[in-house]
Amino acid sequence: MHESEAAAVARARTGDGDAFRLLVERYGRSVFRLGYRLTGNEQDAEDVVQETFLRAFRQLDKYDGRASFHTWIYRIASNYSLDLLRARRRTETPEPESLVSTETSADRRVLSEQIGDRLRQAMDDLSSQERSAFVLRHYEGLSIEEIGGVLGIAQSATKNSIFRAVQKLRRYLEPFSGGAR
Amino acid sequence: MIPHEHLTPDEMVLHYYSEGCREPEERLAECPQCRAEYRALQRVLNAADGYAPPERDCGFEARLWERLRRELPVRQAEPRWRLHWRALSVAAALAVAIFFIGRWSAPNRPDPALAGNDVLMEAVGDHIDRSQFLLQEVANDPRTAAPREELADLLGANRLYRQTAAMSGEPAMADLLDELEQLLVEMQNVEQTNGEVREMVFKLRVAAAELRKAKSGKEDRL
Repeated sequence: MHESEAAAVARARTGDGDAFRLLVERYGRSVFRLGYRLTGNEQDAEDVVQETFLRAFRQLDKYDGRASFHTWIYRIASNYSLDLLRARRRTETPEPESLVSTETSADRRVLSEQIGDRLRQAMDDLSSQERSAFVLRHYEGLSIEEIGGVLGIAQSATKNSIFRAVQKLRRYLEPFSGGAR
Repeated sequence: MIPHEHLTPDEMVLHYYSEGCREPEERLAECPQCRAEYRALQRVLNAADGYAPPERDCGFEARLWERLRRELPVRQAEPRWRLHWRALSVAAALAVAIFFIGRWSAPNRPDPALAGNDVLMEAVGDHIDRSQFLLQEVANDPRTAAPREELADLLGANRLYRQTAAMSGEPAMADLLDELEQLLVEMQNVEQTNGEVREMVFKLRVAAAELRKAKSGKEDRL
């Protein structure tokens, strides 16, 4: 952790709003991106980012500095996102899968939109743990060890979650990805 | 001959993410089937990069902090600019007066235009410091948006300095003040975004440093 960040955390613990604002400004955007990729929903992502920092402030005393602040805040964001996903899956009826156009258009924009649709379907098809592990590895660049720390699972379970996520993505995307690049 | 052992899909995933404990490069180099499989995996995972969150505008952090601040038991320093505002305003007005007095009513000066320029630069330096002070506060804490009458006061002074700078053969300074004026006008009408304010603060900081450097160089020569 940078010295200035450690100092900001220490001051924020004493209730210093300016210090905590520094942390919010540094990580707000990346927590939003993580929240969006985990929930797939802009409104939920806004909710994730706000709730994450509220929880972080209230739990600052529990932060022991062993993990980076970045990893610690991601853990809070991931846990809250998973709670949202679980709650949503309990209450929502799954929507029927939208039909992907079977037209063989040469228009790359259409193809790109199809890939985007398939990607969203694939992400929604992942379990909460698979989605979290994949997002943290693929988009956030965390190591498997760090992801295990964030999600509170063993490295072997982390790897298996990523493997399963990639398998599912392949099933959804392989028919399209040949022409994507 | 030893039977050829292909890379497993899981090994390929680990290799893609640079997490593997084996070195699959050789295998990929020598086995067309592994290579084809790996390329297919690369295409899928590269396509997954397209899952991009919507971009947040540059006021995102400010709005987030505003929402959080209402919920959190935090304390914050009072904005300092309130205390200095009136004093700076008077100083700027006095500096303008000094400039005009120095420029138009100092017959004994060897070069009245140069002397006037010095006073102008002094006055503009104060004005820039004052603007920078306000913009920095707004950039740091958007909830302390400047009161409209004080913003109007700063804007009026800025117009005067800009016109004077243009008439006195200081086009670079006139341009900077023109840009500042546009920003101040926008701040009057709408809540200004943090990014633009920070950019302007940076430019003002550079300009203020250059003015101070030029002034100290002149004093050294004297």
